[in-house]
Amino acid sequence: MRPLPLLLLLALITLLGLVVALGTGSVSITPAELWLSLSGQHQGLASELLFNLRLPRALAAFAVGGMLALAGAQMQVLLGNPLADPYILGTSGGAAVGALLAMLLGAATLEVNLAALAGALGSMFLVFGLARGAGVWSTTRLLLTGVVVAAGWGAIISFLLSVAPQENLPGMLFWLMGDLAHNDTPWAGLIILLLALLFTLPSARSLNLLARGEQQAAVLGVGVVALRLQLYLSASLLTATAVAIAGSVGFVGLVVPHLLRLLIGSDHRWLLPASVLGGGSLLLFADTLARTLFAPQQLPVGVLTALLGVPIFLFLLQRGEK
Amino acid sequence: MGLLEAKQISFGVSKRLLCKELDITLNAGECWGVLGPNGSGKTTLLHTLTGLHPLQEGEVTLQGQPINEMTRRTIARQLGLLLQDSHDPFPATVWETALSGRHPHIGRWQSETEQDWQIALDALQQMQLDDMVSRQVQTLSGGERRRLAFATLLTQRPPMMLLDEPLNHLDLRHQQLLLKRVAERCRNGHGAVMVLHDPNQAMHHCDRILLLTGDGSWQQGESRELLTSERLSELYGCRIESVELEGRRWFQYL
Repeated sequence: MRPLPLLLLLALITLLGLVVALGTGSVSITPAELWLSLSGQHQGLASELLFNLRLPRALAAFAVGGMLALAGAQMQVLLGNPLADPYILGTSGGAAVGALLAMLLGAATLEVNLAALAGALGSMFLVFGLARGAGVWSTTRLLLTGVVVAAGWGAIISFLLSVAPQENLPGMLFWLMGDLAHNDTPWAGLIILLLALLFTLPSARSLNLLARGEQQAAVLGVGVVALRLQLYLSASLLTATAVAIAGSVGFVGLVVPHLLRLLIGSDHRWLLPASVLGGGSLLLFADTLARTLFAPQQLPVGVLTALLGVPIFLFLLQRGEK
Repeated sequence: MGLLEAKQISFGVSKRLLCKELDITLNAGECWGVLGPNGSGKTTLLHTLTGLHPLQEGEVTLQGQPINEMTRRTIARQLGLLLQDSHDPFPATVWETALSGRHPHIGRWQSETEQDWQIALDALQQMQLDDMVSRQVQTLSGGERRRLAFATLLTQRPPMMLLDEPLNHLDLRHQQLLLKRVAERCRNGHGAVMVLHDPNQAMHHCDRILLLTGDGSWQQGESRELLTSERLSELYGCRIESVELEGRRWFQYL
């Protein structure tokens, strides 16, 4: 498939996802009413609902999905491994430890999000410092350090879950599976997503070379050390923000970049923006389903991303092999 | 002033010194051959000359400028290196791969122009790969990948190219083709260095030779003077004989 039509298609899907997300719920809002409310020509219960609940949540879903997919694409190039995902280096584990600790201490949503952010950033600097160690910063060393630190966080998470009082458990499990229920400030995520995309796009052609190995990239004129540092920081910050907003939503970061590679190839000048739109719209649809499928009961959105993504991915994989 | 010069360089791997105080001047129009047993530092030499491997002592200059003061991008416009192996964990087409050789010539905010496409197409034609431009690299054979790596280097168009075992995986016809391309470039005033294992190829395709032993010592000189059966036998630690046929020297080692 040509990249430009796919990008346009993804933009269209995102728009459709927004309309569906804003329109569905306990009170349905038709696209016409949506337009009136959004353009300020109509006020009332529907507008209240829209601006206070559905719009922030929909935008947060898009931002989180976009951030995770973008971080995934970057992490895969950084580690030279198509199986890497944003969580592989322990950023989400650090965030989870922070968030679960805050929950155990009875913190409010905002504090939990901040604790998650602090945990993620702490983990990011820990891995970075340890992997740098003697000054050599090889891919293998970074990967091993990250995976081991992630395993350490995993153990602490299990410990926290096993000592947590019964009444805290559902909230903690929801957080671990990824959940967008408590979101009234989507702008931070959207701005960071936009900045990260604008910051990475100029090096997209260098990413194409780095994907073929550090030496090959260096020989063709890429400043590999600076580029890898930029990728690590960008991917980690994106992951930290996404996880602080929505918990560890799985699957998006691993599979969306992969899936798009199957469709349009590995040119990162197209792949990066396509990942943002693809990840964002996937999470938008998944979250709409998560809150409406068994309403008023809400499902963790992480369950839905996998349920939606697995069949799509397997279908494309089958098709791609022909 | 040579295109690429090494002044009194010493380098090694971990704590082992491979080459001590090497002086070498690679001039435009010259084709050099580097010979030596496994582990004697041939690849490390090429990486050191490209600035990918740290120097212990000495200085490498590219067109008179110290290489460790240049950006990778500036280096890449003047100096190309064919790596011993290529690997492609992500999918890419032959066309995309060849075109990536233009990277150092294209600005950060620009993309490839028609001229870049023409250069890439020309390089693919030169290596007889133009009938498989849309193939996935992962579906190519070892020899085809090798030709693609060399075509990418041709697309890069550096005045000086370093080739690490360029004939690996190639059948005889494509070995000849690649050697012909290197010779053409040298006739047009470019420079080349080839790491080789066959003394016959070095004898007949290189003007000058560098021998590396791996214990720090080295020898350099004209191919005909340097490449003798005694010296090669000692270098490789096995028996190599030479015969003269119609004024050309051939080595036998079977």
